[in-house]
Amino acid sequence: MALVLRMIKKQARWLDPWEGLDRDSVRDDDGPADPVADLDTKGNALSVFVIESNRDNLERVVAALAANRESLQAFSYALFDENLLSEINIKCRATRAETPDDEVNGWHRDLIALTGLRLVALARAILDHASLDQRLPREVAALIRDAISAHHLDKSRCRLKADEWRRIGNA
Amino acid sequence: MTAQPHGVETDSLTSGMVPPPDVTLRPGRSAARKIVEALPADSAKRSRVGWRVTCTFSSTTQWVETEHVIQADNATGLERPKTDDDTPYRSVQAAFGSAKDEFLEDGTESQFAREIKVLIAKHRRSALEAISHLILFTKTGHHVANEALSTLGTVSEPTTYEYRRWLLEQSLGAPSAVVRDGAVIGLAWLDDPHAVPYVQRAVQGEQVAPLRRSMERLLEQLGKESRWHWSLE
Repeated sequence: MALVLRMIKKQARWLDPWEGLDRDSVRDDDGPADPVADLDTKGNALSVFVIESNRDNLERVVAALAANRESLQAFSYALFDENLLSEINIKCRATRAETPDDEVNGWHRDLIALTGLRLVALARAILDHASLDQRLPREVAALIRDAISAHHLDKSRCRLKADEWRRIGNA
Repeated sequence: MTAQPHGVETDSLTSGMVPPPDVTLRPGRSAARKIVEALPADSAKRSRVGWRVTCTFSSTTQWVETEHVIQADNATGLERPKTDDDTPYRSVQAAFGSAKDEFLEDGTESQFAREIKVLIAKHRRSALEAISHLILFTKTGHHVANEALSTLGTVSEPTTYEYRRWLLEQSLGAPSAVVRDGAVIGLAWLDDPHAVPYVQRAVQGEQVAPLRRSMERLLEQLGKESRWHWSLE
């Protein structure tokens, strides 16, 4: 069974999601706002990537997404079973991404026709069932460096600032 | 009878933690107090961070030195750090205040992070004292503290290195998982094996699964033989 990866903008936003809320008073179909704020939609769609069940392509996806940011920093993501999407009635569609790794771009999916309630349901499902993980900056640098060496990443299409490449080279 | 400054509790808590470099607290009523040992958060309740301090009191005819524990949640014995020029504290406080309204995310350097770096470059130790005060005494929100701690690891200013490392190591015992996460990222940037015993202790008590994984990754990184020389200066 394939997995789905959703990039998390900040792991911290998911670590104490019920802060300031009385969890028992929150309805089952509702959830905390902070994680929802991390799931920013465009055109009522949300970008995710398909990860093989053996996770063989996980680090390649992480490298491509991390190299597609301006600044070398920690990289966080949620990983969950693709069946979770059908359970909460969210559809997905294959669309190409625009990372500097063309093969990774083919693993991209859009979660489509999202509404406020579906987004809350997704955030809640991630909180309850997904595995959250965070790669620290040095590991992220090493993943990008190795992906460049393996010619997976097109360096000219990476969005990282010029200074960051020196850090990556030393990782 | 030994004088007891207001807010200072005697306690038998001990730990292997080291004091912050050269930290001297503001004198209290009649006491010159110097931190000799930092205490970890209560591992069960994660409810306090404190310091073992030496206190020198003026009795009627002589100075008497005793040891006390000051707890962060009973902080009346501590005053916020103050320098001859109080500008650094106010500047740091203003930066933390502005950060509350900023959307913080990985992959994009925040305005707050840039301000922190400028303030440390300008005020050095005074800025660190202010940042420590705001974070350890939870005078700021958890997410702002997270960003500040993450940023501390990326600062290149050498004279504040030990102080920054100390604050990051102490913050691994913070009551908030969000704050502990910032400490992990900051220490990952420092890539200094000095932090290993602190991280090992933190892993043992960590209840939040993703954060425990981050700490384990940090331990793995710090165990590497080669160090990461990322500084651009």
